[in-house]
Amino acid sequence: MSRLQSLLILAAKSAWNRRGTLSLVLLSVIVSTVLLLGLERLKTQVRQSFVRSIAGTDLVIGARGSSLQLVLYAVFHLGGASNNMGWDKAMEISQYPEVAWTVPISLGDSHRGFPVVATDENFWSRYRIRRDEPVKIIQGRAFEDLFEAVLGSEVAAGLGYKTGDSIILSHGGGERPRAHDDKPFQVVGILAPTGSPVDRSLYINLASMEAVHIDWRGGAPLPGFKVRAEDVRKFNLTPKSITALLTGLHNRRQVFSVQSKIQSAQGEALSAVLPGVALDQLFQLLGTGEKVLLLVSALVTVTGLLGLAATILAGLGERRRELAVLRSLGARPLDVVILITLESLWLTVLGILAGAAVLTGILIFSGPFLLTHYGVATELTGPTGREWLIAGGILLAGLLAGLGPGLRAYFFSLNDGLNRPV
Amino acid sequence: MTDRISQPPTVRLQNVSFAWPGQAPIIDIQELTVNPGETVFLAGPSGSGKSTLLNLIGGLILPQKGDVFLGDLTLSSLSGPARDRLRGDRIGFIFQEFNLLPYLSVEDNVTLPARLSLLRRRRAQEAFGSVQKSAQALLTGLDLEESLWSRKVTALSAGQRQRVAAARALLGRPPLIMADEPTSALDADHRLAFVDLLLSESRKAGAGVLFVSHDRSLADRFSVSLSFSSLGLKQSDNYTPAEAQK
Ligand SMILES: Nc1ncnc2c1ncn2[C@@H]1O[C@H](COP(=O)(O)OP(=O)(O)O)[C@@H](O)[C@H]1O
Ligand SMILES: [Mg+2]
Repeated sequence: MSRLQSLLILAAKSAWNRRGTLSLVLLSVIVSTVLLLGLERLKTQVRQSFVRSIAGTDLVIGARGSSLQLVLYAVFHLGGASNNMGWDKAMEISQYPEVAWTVPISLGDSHRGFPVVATDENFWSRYRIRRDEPVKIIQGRAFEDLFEAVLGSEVAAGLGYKTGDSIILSHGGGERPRAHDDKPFQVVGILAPTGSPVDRSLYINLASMEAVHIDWRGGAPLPGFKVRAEDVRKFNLTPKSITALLTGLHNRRQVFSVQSKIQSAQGEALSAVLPGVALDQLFQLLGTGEKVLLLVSALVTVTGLLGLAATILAGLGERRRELAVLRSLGARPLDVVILITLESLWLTVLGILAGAAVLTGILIFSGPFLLTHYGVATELTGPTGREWLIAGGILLAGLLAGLGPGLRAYFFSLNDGLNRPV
Repeated sequence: MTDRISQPPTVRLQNVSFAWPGQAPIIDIQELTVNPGETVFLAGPSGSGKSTLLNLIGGLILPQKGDVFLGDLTLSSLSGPARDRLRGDRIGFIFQEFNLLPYLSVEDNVTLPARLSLLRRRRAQEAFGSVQKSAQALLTGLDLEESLWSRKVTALSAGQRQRVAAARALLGRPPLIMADEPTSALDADHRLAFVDLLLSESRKAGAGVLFVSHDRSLADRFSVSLSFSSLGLKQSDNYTPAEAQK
């Protein structure tokens, strides 16, 4: 057994003996770790889940306006759209030779707070999440006809739906949406969980969207004009406009030329947005808030570690005799420094480990909540490089905090000798 | 053990003088020797510098004048860490009170020297096969029954604690035991019993003993009895009889 090992064991045993006082200090290290690592984890996961949902799409096309707003609304169903784009324009773009596929998206209705997405069959074959995963149906089938709905996994689980159930859509998504109760939908399929906004959405075809609004104008039913569900097929159900068009190209390198082609085209003014660029804008916005939170957490950590140093320092007075005994047994002044400094190192290591465990617990516990309410998928992954860095930073700070008491112990042991005259 | 005459004294001080910073000289010793296996009683009133003397012999402080020899080595010629190591290897200390680490069991306190001194660990292993067995043999020799060994030291009486401290000082057979008023926390009945146990165990281990105390009633148990004031040239001038009576 080496000398350092001996000191390590002594430091641990001594700390265990004072566990009452030290556990409070430990708690503050745990809180600091949870804050710092949790913040980092949440930050990366928020970013990941944004990026993941849009990975396969090269351009998001919609009415001219804020590109970030367009992406947030079309892909994440957050916020609202300023304007729609014409269906004819969407058809025209889908015929471009560079364009491999398009998925039309029409938003506006909701069901019990979950957004309803009207799209076409390309959604099943072309839309991609994560690196290259299509959306999978785990129960039932895709929509084929009018008034058929396919539910995201969270919608089905949260509201307890199964295929064959009948549901009523609401117009708009506000607090008191008005019901489309004259035209109920049938649940025909349920999707596999994806960890993306798909899980919180209901999917219908574009014609159904047109059909429920056939007797509506400007957000309200037309007075004195009612079309019964069985009669809608007599009308032309081709949409006049959609919210956005998700587009994939044959060759990604053409993305800028296609973008400028769309934006400079004659007629209706459109935006063609690279989703990555829009998300970078978003992350920059989030970055300011993140920095403030990081600063607060760092201050909490510093305060906690100062408390640790103060506690060890306060206990040192009583331990002067103990240090003198160790000196009499041949301990060098440096050994005494190591012994005392190791104590805060022990506590910091323990605090970081416990903090990481607590954080994992929180993530497991709150994961479903974060997913349903914020669409953030918290995946349980091993620590990332930055997280190791943060943990290392806390450890280093703990070591520095321990050096204060360590140095004081050094001077004690030099001045006291074997027996401090009391 | 080889012939004692050929061995250098375990401790020797020659013309040593020492003063704590900003204080008058407290140690002024012309000559003090502890030979191998010799038991020396050194009497001095409190405040006369007995503990300071042990610090000097332990190499925690260096004299301003003169030399302290431990066996064949001169302390002032060694580096700080080397003196620390030498102390751990060659001297077992027993203090007035608070000898033991409160967070260790009785047995772990006794084996502590083996954690810090390689030499004493090896000696303890050689003597009884393992450090633990050495500790147990010493504890038994000092009348500490087995049921106490795994106890926390805080659960022990003052007398039991001093005997644990003695066991620790003896572990690994250091050539010198230095005791600094180890009986002053004990009641009168236990003092003599403790000194007798300590001396007989030290004799078994072949260790020399330097025992400092103001309690002259213990002096006749030792092979040599000295008075602190007789060691130095100036000591007798420094202390008034009133102080000496304490
Ligand atoms: N660690 C120390 N630092 C400074 N001065 C000390 C220290 N230890 C002892 N002294 C001084 O030396 C004097 C003698 O103390 P000490 O050696 O403890 O005597 P004794 O052990 O005989 O009672 C004390 O009065 C004190 O002033
Ligand atoms: Mg003293």
